[in-house]
Amino acid sequence: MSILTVSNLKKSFDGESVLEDVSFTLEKGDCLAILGNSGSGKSTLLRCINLLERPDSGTILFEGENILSHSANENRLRSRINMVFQSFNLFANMSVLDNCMLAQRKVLRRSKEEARRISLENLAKVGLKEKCDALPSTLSGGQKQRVAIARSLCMNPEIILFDEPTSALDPMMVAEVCNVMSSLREEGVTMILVTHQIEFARNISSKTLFLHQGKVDLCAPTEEAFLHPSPRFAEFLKVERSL
Amino acid sequence: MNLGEDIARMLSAYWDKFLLGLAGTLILSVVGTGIGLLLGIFLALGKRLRPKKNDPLYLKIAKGAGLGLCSAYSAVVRGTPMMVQALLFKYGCMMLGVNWNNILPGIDVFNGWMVAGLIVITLNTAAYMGEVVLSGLNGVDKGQSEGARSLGLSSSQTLWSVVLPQALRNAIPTIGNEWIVNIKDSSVLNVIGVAELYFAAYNAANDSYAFMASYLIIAVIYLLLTMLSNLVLKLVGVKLEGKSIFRFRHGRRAIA
Repeated sequence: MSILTVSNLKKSFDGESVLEDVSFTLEKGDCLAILGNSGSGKSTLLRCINLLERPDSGTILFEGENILSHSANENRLRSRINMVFQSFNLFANMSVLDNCMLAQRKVLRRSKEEARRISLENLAKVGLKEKCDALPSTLSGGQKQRVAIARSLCMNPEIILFDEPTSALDPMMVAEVCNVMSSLREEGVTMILVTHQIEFARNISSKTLFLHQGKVDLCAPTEEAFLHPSPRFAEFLKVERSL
Repeated sequence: MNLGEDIARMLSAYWDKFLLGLAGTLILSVVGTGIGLLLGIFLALGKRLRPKKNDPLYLKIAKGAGLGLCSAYSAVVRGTPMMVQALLFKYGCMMLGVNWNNILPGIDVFNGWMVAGLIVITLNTAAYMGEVVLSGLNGVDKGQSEGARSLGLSSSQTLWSVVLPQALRNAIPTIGNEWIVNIKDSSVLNVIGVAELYFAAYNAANDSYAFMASYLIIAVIYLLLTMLSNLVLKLVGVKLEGKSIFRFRHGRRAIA
């Protein structure tokens, strides 16, 4: 059974359609890269999966449960499908360690000691254990994003959604974050990645979905998508690679 | 008799009255600001209520009523002078047969209508604090609450652990100013017989006919109080600037 099945998802803002009949499936351990031009609905799609936005219609089955039904526990689901944002969204009023511990304590009800141990383990995984007492404002962009990834890992999520995690970073920092994500991929973490880093997406993902004006233009295993792209995806790749 | 001698005479004869008045003013400003801030937080939250499309009808009505009540309260209290509010409170209570006079006998500073004065200044401050907290909440980046929600924190956990501590931290200079305003504005509560600093000077002046000396003494005390408060606020500001010295932890303020 697929871990995530999205069917006929529709979303509009003020009457303007952003997502139209978006459907795809994700298996456990998959890495799905969502590509598309700016405004094609990539981030909105991730936000719908994380329930930060409510789709107008359609279904999202997570482990067989429709997370859009009114009986679904949104907070519990969000703790299992985490999101890493372009702008990091670290809690500015807390240290790196507290950032990692907060949701573990409040949502998973872990003890302080356990939350601390797990936080330090995950911070070590992203190479930032020594920064545990630092405030986010003292970190570089790459470090902030690695903390955001560690914060998400602390929740042991089933799926991590990455919304353009490297867009706000310079090339050196992009490499830092990409390395962390590659190691997560090797560990078999299920992830959905929205990015403009075409080559990184090609290297890391098992599946590629190309959105064009809110519609799925192509959804295929990554190698097949890049070797036999649809006309629109081919044009997109040409433009992106020329930048 | 010159002014200098008058002042010395007043201080020696009425020092205990001035001291009591000073205590009254401090209690009014500190308690009024503190509890006013707490009430202001709830008022600000009320003013942020917005019925959503998917809310059930009862929730839409409850949210609409909460928003309307909080907005009306804020408009009425901020739109009328505290002196008038104090008089309305006093005579309203008397009409209803509620007497706040000397309800805590034996504690000098709570003589007269002090408790009523505390209620008036607190309710008045709450309206202003509501606006202060509301602007602080609106100033917190939306990404902060999205970051918390995306990890599974509930709306209230997000508010109390992530958003509110940042909003209050941003609002500390304005909250401090409200405190200073309350030190001075508490003087209007003398109209309902609250024993604060102005009330002490008024009584001492009427008793001794040394009007200029009495009011000069309390002018200096008010000035010293506000200068001292400014100094405290500046120190807090310096602490806030020092990123590792002062910070909020899980919604509690901690000086590390």
